[in-house]
Amino acid sequence: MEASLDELLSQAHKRGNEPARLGFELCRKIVSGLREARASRPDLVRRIGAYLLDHHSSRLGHELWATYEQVYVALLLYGKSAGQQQRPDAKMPEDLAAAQEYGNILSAQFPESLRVKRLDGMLWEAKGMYDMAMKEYDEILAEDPHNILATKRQIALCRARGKTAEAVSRLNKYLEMVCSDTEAWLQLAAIYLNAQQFKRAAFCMEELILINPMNYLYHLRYADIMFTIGSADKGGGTEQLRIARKYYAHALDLKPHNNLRAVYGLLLAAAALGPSSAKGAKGSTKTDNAEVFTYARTQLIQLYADRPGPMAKMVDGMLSSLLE
Amino acid sequence: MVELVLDPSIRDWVLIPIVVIMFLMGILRNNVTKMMRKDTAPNPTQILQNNQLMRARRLRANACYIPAASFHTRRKVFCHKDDGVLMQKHEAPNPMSMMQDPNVMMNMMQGNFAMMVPQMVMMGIVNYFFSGFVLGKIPFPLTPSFKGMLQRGINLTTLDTAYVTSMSWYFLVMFGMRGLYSIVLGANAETDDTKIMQQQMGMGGQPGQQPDMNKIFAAEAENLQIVEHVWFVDAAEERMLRGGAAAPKTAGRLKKD
Repeated sequence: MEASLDELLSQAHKRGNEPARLGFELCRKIVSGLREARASRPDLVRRIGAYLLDHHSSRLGHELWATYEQVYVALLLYGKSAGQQQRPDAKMPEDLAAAQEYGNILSAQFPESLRVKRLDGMLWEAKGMYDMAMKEYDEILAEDPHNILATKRQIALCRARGKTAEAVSRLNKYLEMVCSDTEAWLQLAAIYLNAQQFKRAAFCMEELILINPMNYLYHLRYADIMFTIGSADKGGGTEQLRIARKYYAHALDLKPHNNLRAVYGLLLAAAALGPSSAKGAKGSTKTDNAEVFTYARTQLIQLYADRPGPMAKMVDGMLSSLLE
Repeated sequence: MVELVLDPSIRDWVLIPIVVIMFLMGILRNNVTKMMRKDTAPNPTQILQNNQLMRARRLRANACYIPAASFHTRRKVFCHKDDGVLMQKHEAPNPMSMMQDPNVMMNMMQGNFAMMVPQMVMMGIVNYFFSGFVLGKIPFPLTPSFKGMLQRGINLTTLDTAYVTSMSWYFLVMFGMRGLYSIVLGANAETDDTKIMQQQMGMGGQPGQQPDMNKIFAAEAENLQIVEHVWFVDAAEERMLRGGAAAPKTAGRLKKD
């Protein structure tokens, strides 16, 4: 039985994440585990993966090239975050130089590969040379017009450069083609939220709920958006607030334990609805607002009662202020 | 009944070599198929149509999780009389054009080729080198009509049918090797004859033919139009407060079908 990724990571953490002390087998397992779980741990991949490639590349077998790619991307992620702290006129960060080396190895091995070409583009991105990156992706798309990875990179690039409108139109075009890509829908929702286009964001969230109705996070986010629309000064109404309350309740139904956000949402939605909801909406189920409020309140108090600390008092104060 | 005693060297020089030869042949064939296989670029319009269809199905299945207004807007997009997504006319695929497409034909030919040739060669080899003697005994009796198949090359009318020649052993190994291949070559190896045969059977003798999207779309549009929207989330608060009243829940679940 293979040990789970978490166990492996804790083992590694005990030994200070020092690759030389972890040994080849554990390092390999961690790197491949992270790759398969698509976990974002560039710090670990950068150290352990680079160690594997530098000292044990012949023992990696069929995983070798995937590991190269993984370490490359991790280095880019790392180099980028380090690059922002440095002065702009500084030389190329060490990580990016290392990535460049790995990239050279990869492109020597697969000279025609579009996948490697995309990695080249990502290096340009990490260096901050967006035009070059864009050109690289355009070349990929010229060769293979339906390359999903390159399309997504271009969208991300547009967003990074602040061309929100272009990113949105590209995303829409992409989603028309690949309408079950949850990542892309989430991205679009985030862009719309940034632009305060809540109705459009709500549409994206509805789409996500349709894709996976069992994910309580989508319901929660949808409720948040509805709450925001409902509590806005202009165009807000009890209808949206009521929808928000329902979706908070549903999220709580899907994940009954430790779902603090849903409880808070319920509480706030119920408080915002206030006495105006005494008359039930047309057609929909008439649930007493006060009842929901009381329920959320007891839930909240209970959640904090389990964890003693200064928070319980603050929550108490907030609750009493809401009641007034 | 007297047991026949078989020469041990038959085991060493026939039984085991056949297994080894077949195993190596399987691996060789796996690699050859891999080399010959070409990745054909998927047809973009086909992907688009499939995605639209999936989205419509998803809407139908999970409609109970979004508010009524949202559902009706979406249904309108799919089922609007003139410009609904599902109401567009698509070009019906022409089966003849598939046949004329040399790539499709080539792929089919290669697939069949890679399957048939090694089998014929192996049968020839086994028949040529290892015939004319009894190789083993199967642990159950069979009727004499199996004689021609199981005891090829031995014309003894009195020999029990349970004694078989190398040809039977060949078939036994051929079908029994699959498990070993999947261990050695990985789960999705190309050596699975039975799977390939099933695939070809399943396509109804016309491999690679596309379904008519017009019909599927029209059927889906109809299905979508008759969906009665029940908002499952509507009763979420009731469920929460009353500890899950069963009635609205089941109603919502039923609507999914």
